[in-house]
Amino acid sequence: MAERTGSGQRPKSIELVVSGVSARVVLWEDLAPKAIAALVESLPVDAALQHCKWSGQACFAEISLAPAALESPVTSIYPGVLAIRPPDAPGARAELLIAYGDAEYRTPEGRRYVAPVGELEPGSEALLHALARTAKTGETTLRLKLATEAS
Amino acid sequence: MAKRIRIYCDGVEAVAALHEDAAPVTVARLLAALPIEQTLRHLRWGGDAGYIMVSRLADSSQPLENPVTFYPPGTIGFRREHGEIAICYGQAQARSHVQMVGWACNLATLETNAGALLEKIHATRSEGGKPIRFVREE
Repeated sequence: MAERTGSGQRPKSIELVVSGVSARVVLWEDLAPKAIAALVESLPVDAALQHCKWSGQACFAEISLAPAALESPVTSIYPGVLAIRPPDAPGARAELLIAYGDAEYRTPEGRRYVAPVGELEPGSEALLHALARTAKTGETTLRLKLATEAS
Repeated sequence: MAKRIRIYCDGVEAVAALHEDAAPVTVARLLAALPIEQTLRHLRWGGDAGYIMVSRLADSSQPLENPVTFYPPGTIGFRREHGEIAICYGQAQARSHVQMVGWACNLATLETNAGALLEKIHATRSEGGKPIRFVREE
């Protein structure tokens, strides 16, 4: 999934750090251009990362993004995929979700939709393990920043 | 008089009354399996509850007694298919990756020191797993 834009341009990517483990995320600008623009504009992001309690094998962090329409809505979040649930009201926070296994965006009321915004690059198993560990060890830290060209 | 279990979790003790009249088979199997000592972790699909898996109690052929899908706070639910014991501190439901609406046995209700125990269970979300021990209350 390294080239999704079809334009010949290099996909925009960001760096994700969880519990000190780093990986690069290829952003899916063709699927969620507005959400990605808002996310990139908000970088760098430092936030608490918790395991999901309704959505399965995924972690989430609350981040500050402007309310926006949901793009390319999905419920399933595949391993290694990042997704955003935009805030549904002014002042509310967005949810950034990252799956490490079977996950589906759910709330107490049932399934809900998220916008898929990107995917960890192949070889990011250490980061997936860091996400999975939060089910045993609890809350950790997340940092998102623009990827450097060299990394 | 209802049979009871005592629960120790990370320095807190609480007592729960077993719903033996409504769930005689489930209660008998639990009592036979005590003491149980494991690491309590937070649910990943079912909301505000902590859980342990007791593999020797897993038996899908066991009757589903005193069934509930939503766990009221302070409730101890048991899922026969997994041998899962869940203690609910908020809004929770018997769910899984393939089931939005599952069923559990309403096995017991906390009677004493429920607030302190439920705080410990809630804390597994941010602090991670905590040791928990279930014994029969004499």
